[in-house]
Amino acid sequence: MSAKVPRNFRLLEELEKGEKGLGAEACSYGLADGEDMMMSNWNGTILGPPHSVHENRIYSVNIHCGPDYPDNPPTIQFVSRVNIPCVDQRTGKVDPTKVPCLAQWKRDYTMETVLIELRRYMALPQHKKIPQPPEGSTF
Amino acid sequence: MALPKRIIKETERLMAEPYDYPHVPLTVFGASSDSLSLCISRVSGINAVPHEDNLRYFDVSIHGPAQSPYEGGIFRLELFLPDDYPMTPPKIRFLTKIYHPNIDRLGRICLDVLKNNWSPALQIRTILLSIQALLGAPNPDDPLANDVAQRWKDDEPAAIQTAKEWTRTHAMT
Amino acid sequence: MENVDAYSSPAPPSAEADPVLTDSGSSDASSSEEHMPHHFDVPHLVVRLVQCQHCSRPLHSPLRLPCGNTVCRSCLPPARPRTGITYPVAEGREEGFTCYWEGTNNCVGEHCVGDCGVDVVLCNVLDLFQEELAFPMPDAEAQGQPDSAGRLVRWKVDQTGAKSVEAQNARLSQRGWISGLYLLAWEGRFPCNAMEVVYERSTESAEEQACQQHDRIRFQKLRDRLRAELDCQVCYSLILDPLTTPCGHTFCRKCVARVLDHTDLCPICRRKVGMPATIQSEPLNRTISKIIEYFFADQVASRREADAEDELGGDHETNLPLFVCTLSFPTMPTFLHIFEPRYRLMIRRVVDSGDGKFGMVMYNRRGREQADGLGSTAFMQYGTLLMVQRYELLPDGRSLVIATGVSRFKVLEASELDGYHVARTERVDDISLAEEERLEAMETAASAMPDPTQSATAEHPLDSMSTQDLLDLSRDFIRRQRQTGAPWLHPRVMLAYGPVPIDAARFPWWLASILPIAEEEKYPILSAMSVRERLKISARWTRELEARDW
Repeated sequence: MSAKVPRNFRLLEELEKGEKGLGAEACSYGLADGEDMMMSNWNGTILGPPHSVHENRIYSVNIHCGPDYPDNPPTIQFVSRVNIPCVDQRTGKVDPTKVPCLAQWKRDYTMETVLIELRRYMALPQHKKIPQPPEGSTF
Repeated sequence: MALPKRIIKETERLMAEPYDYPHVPLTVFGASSDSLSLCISRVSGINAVPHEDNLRYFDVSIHGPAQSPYEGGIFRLELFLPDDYPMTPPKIRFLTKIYHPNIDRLGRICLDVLKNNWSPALQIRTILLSIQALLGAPNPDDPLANDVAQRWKDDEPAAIQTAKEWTRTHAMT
Repeated sequence: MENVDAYSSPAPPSAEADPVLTDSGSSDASSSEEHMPHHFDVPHLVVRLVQCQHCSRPLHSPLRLPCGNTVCRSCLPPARPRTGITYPVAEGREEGFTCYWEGTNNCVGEHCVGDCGVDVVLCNVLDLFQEELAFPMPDAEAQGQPDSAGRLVRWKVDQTGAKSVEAQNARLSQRGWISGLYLLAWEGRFPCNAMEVVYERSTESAEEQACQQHDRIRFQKLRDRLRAELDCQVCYSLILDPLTTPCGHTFCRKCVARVLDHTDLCPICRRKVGMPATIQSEPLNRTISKIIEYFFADQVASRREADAEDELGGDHETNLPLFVCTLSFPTMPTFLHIFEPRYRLMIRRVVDSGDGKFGMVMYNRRGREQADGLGSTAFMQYGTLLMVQRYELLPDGRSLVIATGVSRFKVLEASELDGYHVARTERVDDISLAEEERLEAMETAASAMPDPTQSATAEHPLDSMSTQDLLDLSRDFIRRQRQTGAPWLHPRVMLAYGPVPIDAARFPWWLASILPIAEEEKYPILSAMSVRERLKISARWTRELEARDW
């Protein structure tokens, strides 16, 4: 029904939202390279959810938005070590089939949607008590 | 929702702009991102072609104005008409790297008519001409790229030299 | 091709596939009859379209009047200073005049000179009439001048006052009737109210045919060129319901309404439009309306049809979702935390539909009976149309919404949809600026005579105060309150609602948003239909608060 916002303008919107800090407080994100015209690589952070083993930890992730974003979801790779089932323990890559918003991606989802959902994933009852690698270690 | 008539008309008029070389066939409509169509020069030095799969999204090229550091360069931009266009301005940015105090590293443009001074009586064509004029008259007092603006103020000849080099490197290939 | 309006024309019969060919009438006259006005019989109707209703000459430097009529600049009645008016403050508002059309065609009678801008579209139209009708056609005129006597046209004129009808006539030296009559009007010899116009046909059929051909060509050329001038500069279509701003620029009425949702400046010259959302009741430009209707009736009809279909899509007049919660005001932000499932659904629909608009109405706590047969609804009848500015969906499905007031409405009929209310509404607008000015002049004049029963106490009765003084009264109150550090004027509040507005039209909305009094007390300001009335309400609030012990 409404106009389809092209990739680059969508990413610019997300960038502005991220720069102004309009998003939810527990997650943030920004361009990895401020001169990359294609705006493909992003850094994200997730503040570990309270009442879980992740509380007070800050997790860094790399987000990659391909040329077909947002028709297809971004790929996510944890930089900070984290032990949860959706993250490959060798590479830190997030398995998109295990995260609902990535598996059933919609065009109006954003990088923020993904970060918030990952944070919620950490806080799930079955995940929030899994033992974690030492704080500050990276993949 | 169908494309508003205004957008259809604007597109038609853009496509009907006279060419510098009259023998060039007029069949570029919908040629989408094929850069060939953008290199064909229009008399005005501006060209905009809608994407086939999104008629609100345009590939744009602007020729650097004569007697400016951008002379001889062909700059590529992208333009998008949001839902409430023409009540709100088109979104537009440079895809070709350019050294200019009012254009930042991501190609975003600081131009009043693209923000508060937008009026629905303006159109794609007039906006592109304004951007072309901005290339001819940089305004370091209203900067978007702070470092470039500072350099422009401190050492204008050097800044112009850099702008020329960038034009040669990025806009003449 | 400018003259062919492919989008708005209904599918033409194949014979008319090329309207230029058919309309020029070179072949079959009968097939073009349906497509074109019957101008052969009534050339004076074409000329009349552009005659000044005052001097009968083709309009010259036409001024648009607020009542929708047009006069030549030189025909404007003598202006005189206006008194007792302090709002709005703008150039050209200190002089006014009594309109020729007072009491007719909805004309209120008194206009302000500043509202009578030069009609830009009409100027261009007149230039085309002049170019196409006032000059001889080189090919046609050169071969064989008409006989020296010329062709006779007769008409009657109602002599005002004398109550008699006078017969007049003239001989036209031009070959075609249209340009002949146009030049006659130009000389001031053809009254704009001529009746029973009779054209004496030539006895020679060849000559008669040449004449008709001449008229047809002139008319067609004029029509083709006019079409390009009559596009709205906002929607790029033939102007529908032409509305002319005080600065003289003409757009579709709907386009002006859309523009005013975003800004109060004219799209073309960026002057203040000064038509505070009364667009629905603002008179159309009669002269331009008639010209468009005359030349392009078919295109108007098809455009209106297409328009009606568009409206069916997302017409909020009939299906506005309502949020029953609080009082919101135009131009002011409302901050919402949405947790109730029914409103989650509603807001999601509002945001997904792409236009982000919904209605905010306050609870009807005391179960008051509402007007228009609504009965004792759960909400109050008057509300504010809000536009979502920011929408934050929280992980648990709750959401934070910041919305800005767009306009006011009243509910005419309500029903429920998936747990929330939807309503058929009617937009509530202020009275026109002319009315606003008259109201002020009237009230201040009436109370200028002292009431002997009223003792000369300290406080001025609000009715006797100028609109500007009313604004100052409340603004002074705010200033004093800030000096004493009133908590309701905390910098955080100012950050959310903006600094004290200078604009008298906006100030009461700002005040109502932050003033620490009960919503029930604030509610009446929503239905006040003039700036002055709202300022009086504001002034009453501030006086009461001041009298109160803080």
